[in-house]
Amino acid sequence: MVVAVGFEGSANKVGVGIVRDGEVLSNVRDTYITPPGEGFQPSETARHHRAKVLDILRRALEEAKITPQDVDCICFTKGPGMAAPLTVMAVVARTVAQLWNKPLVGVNHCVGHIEMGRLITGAQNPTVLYVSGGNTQVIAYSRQCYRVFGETIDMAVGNCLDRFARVLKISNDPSPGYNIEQLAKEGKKFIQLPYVVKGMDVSFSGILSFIEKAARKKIAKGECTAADLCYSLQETVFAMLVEITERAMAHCGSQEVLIVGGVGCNKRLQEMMGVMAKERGAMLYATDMRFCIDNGAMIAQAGWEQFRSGGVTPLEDTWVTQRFRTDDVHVAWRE
Amino acid sequence: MDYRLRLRVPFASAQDASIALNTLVVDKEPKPDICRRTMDVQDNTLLVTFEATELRTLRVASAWFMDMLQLTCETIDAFSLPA
Repeated sequence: MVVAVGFEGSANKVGVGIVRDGEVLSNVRDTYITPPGEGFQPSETARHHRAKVLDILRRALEEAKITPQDVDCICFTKGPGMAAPLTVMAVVARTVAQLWNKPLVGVNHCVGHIEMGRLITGAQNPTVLYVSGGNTQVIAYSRQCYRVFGETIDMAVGNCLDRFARVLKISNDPSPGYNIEQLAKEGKKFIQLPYVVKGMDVSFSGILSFIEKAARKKIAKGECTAADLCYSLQETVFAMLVEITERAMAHCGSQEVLIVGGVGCNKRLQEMMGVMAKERGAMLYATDMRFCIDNGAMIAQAGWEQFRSGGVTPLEDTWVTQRFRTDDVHVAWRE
Repeated sequence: MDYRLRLRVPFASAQDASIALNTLVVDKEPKPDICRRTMDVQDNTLLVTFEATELRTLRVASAWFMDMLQLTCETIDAFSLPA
C-alpha cells in the first residue's frame, strides 16, 4: 500500500488531502474569501494559508486515521499558481518530509485536476476540459503527455466570471462563480455578447470589457437585470468552451469528456456539455465541489501516480514556479 | 551592496537547524542583483546574511524570510516525531 499526503495552495484555497491506493482518506480545505468587489492578492492569500495550513494538516491526519509512519510520500503543488501561497505550502511540505524522513513529489497543479477527475469518475481516456480561475484548457492524452489542444489566449474563464461578479458586487462566499450560477437561473432576457473562438482557442477579455460596460449602462436604464447578464455571460462563455471541446473530441475520435477545475462544478456547464456528448454518443464525466475545486487530495493522487513511476523530486529541486505547462509533465504512469 | 542584515537563529538541536536551512535555502531571492541571501548552520544556530542595494528591498526580503522561518519552526514544533 502506498499512502500519499498532498499539499495544495496555489490560489485562494489551502488544502491537505491523503490518498491510499485510489482511496481518499481525508481532504481538508479552507478558502480565503475576500469582501464583495475585491479579488485575492498574493501576500494576503499567503498570510491566510500560513495561518491555516498546520491545523489543516493535523485534521487531515486525524480524519485519515494514519500516523506519519504510515506515509510513503509528501506531495505538493510545484506550480502553476501564485508564488507566495505556493511557497508557503512548499515550506511546510519540505519541513515535514525531513522530520518524517519521506521523499517529496512536486506535482503539476493541472495534472492534479486531471488525475483526480479520472480517479473519481473512472473515465479511462477522456478529452479533458480544465476550467478554473487561473486556467482554461482543452486537453487530450497522447504518448505520455497531456497535450493542450486549445486554451484561452488571455484570461481564464473563471477569472472572467469572478471579475464580473466584482463589478456587480456579488458575494465571494462560497465563490463568486457559484453565486453567478444561482443568479443566472433567474435570468430571462439574453443579451448578445461577443463570441470569441479562434480556431481551437478562446478569448474572454473582450467579453468582460463589453459586459462591464453593459452592466453599467443597461442596468441603469432598466433594459436588463443583473440576473439577465449573469445568464447571458454563462450561456456565451460555456457555448464557446463546449464548441472547442467538441472539436477536440472529433479530432481525437474520443468517446469520453471529463470536466475538471473549479468552474467544472457549474451545473449549467455540465448540462450544456452533456447535450453535446449525447449528440455524439459520448459519455460526460464530472465531479462535485469536493474534488472539482482545488484540494489536497488531487495533489496526493497525482503525486501517488508520479511516486509509483519513480517521479521523486530531490529536496534542492522543490522550488515552486508560477509557470508550469500541463504538457511539460512526462506522464510516466500511463501507457 | 550597501546594506547588510545578519541573523543568528538558535534552534533546539543541530538537526532542527539543518532542517530549517534545507527548507529555506531552496527558495532563491527573485532578484539576486539587488538582493542576495546566504545561509549556513553552525552547531544548532542558523546563520543568515542579506545584502541589498536598497534598504527597502532588504526590508521586504527579510520580512518574507522571517515569515517562512517562523512557519518552518512552527511545523518542526507541531510535527516532529517523538524521539
